[in-house]
Amino acid sequence: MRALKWATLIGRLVLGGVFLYAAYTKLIQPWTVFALAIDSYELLPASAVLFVARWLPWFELALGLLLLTGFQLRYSATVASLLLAVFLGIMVRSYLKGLGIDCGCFGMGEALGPRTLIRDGVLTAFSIAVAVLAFLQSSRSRQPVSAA
Amino acid sequence: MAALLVAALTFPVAAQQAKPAAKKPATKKSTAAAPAPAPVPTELKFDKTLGSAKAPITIEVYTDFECPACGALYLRTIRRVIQEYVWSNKVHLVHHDYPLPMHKYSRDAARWAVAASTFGKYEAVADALFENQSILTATGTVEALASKALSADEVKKIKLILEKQGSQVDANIEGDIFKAKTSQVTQTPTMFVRHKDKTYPVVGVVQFQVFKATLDDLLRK
Repeated sequence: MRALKWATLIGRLVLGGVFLYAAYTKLIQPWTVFALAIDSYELLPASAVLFVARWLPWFELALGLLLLTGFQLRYSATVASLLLAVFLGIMVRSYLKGLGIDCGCFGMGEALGPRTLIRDGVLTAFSIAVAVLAFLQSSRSRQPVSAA
Repeated sequence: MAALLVAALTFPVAAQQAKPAAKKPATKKSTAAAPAPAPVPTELKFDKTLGSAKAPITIEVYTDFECPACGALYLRTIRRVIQEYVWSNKVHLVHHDYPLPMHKYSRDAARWAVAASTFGKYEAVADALFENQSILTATGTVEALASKALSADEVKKIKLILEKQGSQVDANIEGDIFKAKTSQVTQTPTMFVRHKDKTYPVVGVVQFQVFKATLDDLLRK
């Protein structure tokens, strides 16, 4: 139980830190630069690109704070995992299409390639692990303590 | 060599500036014989830019005339950027040719466009080539497609340039290719949007509405 608690704590701190950093790298540059990165994936219509570019960094910021604080960790970690899985899917699709574009994950200047795919794959797996740990911790904390 | 120099001094050909070329009024001919095309100067001046060099934003775009993404970018986005930003002196557009080795006719297409830039017709030829890109890729009929944007005299002039001074045209293209490689351009199309002291690379096709939001945001700063 103690090990589970520590593992969950470290997991959410790392994951929260990653999301906060991702939000920071996007918010320090013009939001339209991030819009260009999203548009280069050739996935969304212009209106959706602009909407996502405006709001995704703030969403990442909020998610990062939730993870760091551990508030509703089961849900925040699940949402983080889903988000990362979607990103990974889009990145794999674009890579297989041969799009030589920027990842856009942590600001500009990072090309989409095997390194970014592996990194985001590991991050997704890590996020899923944190979500699982959070659910486990939650279910064990609800189990009645047996009488001594 | 001396004869060419004398010819150049006797029949000066003014280089076209970045603003849209003002058409000279047609001169009246007293005889029925068609005039020979003006002799080409020894050193060519290429102008592949559009708009005022003093514009707050400069966009440098690297394209290949056979690249489908370049065609899409040009027809859907760059054309509108020219209409809405270049002509109102908000953007200075600079073309660079980066013909890719796997495209059979793109080098030839670039040579025609670059030759046309010596008399301010780069954009017109580029427009015609991108507009008819599928025909270009299928048939390689660069002259016929470029001619859609040129007068008969201009076609003759380009052929003369390519025949007599093709090495200068090739040098211009090689210069662009070198610049692309040193700027780490890994694919076409690639744009570099420069505003004040910042440069924003843009790779691939960009939708006009997204690009417009970017330009408007930069212009507000």
